[in-house]
Amino acid sequence: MAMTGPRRSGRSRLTILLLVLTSITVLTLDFRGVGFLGDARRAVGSALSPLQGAADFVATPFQNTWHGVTGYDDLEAENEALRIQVEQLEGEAARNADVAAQYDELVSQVDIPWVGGLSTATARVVQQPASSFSHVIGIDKGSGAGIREGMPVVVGDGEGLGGLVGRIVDVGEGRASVQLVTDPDFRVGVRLVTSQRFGTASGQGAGRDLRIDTGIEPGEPDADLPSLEILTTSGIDDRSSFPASIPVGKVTRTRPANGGLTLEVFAEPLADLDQLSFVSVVLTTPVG
Amino acid sequence: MLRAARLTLVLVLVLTVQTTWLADARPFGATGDLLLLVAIAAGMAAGPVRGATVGFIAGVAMDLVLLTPFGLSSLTYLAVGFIVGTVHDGVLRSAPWIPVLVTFVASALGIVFLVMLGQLLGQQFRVPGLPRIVLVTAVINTLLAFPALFVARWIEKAAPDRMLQPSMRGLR
Repeated sequence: MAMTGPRRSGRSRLTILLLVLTSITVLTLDFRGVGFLGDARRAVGSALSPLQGAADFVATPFQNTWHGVTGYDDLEAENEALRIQVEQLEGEAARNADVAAQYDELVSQVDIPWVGGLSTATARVVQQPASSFSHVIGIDKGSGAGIREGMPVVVGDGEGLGGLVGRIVDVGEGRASVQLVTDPDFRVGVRLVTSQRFGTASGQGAGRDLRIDTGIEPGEPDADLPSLEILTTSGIDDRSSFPASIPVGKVTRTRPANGGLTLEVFAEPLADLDQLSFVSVVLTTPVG
Repeated sequence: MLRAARLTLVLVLVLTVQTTWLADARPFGATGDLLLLVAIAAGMAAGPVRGATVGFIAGVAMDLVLLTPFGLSSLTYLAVGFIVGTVHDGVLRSAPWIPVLVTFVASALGIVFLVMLGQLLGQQFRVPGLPRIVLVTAVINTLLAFPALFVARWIEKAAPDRMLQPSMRGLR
């Protein structure tokens, strides 16, 4: 027998009410850190993995074409920038010895071989941020490779520098999630290499520079930061859970903040977060 | 049962496309939101209750692949599916441009609602390019409006009591 109008309407309202209440309940459980939601996410991530692999395999030729089309202007600009860079390097070849000395000095300051004594696990990036508001990528290694929550994730640039990519925020057996340094919720204690000032870097969203609160006042001698000064992790317990001296970014600009009382520093991440294929997880026990 | 199976199949496929092709392509820096489109299409095809129900399920699927608060997407898509179903039931549906308009507006408002709800819940959606993301998502969803509506109707045709629902008229 067909359901009458008012009864159907009542059932509809009840359905909507139940769905809303369920959503709010789940939200509350998530905020309280109930474990099974994380387990469910990891299970779905593992279940989707083969499908994502197959989809990537099918789409690769189309993706390459797409990137070729959409990135044509970028490639031209990059080409031009590289040509200028080559000319500059050729012009500086005569000062090679001096440059080498400066380089050695820089290495000693920045402590570039930061990864020398630390074990790493190299992982492939298998998932880019799934929504426009997500700053989390997926990698194909997990607890089976010794990866734990809070570990720093880095990438090299082939010349030994590279930089900090983010931190592990969720770990499954064969997968892990990495919160990128550009995530507005990301915080890391940093050190300005030349001035030896400490601060806290925070993400500002994809494609934007990191913001560093240093407490430097505009009138201070340290306020004249050298252009492209490098930031590394500070390794100080109450500011950073990462080992010291991981390169984070290079200073691009400064501006007065807090009514001119302090100087706000902005830095471009050293890691190219748009071109991540492989990353390394530093297998160190997070401090704090 | 058949309807649930069809919906599951569609959601798995859409989730896979969302987390691979769209996440990688990121046209104009935005990933689009196909699961929101699923909720909108369900609302248009089968009315507010089904729109809300499918929106909730699609939202849970999205919540499972993001690390944003669990329930944020489900609550948003639920609201969008319900509102689209209510509005769409109340207008003359013979005009072909109505699904296009509804999809565009609902997609844009859905993203704005998601960000607002996220901010209320303490998420730092510090998105300088929010208008761009809203526009790209709305355009992508609008381009796919008719295929999505076709798929939503295919799912709902499997419902045993479809002839009882006023919003299902004209599905055959």
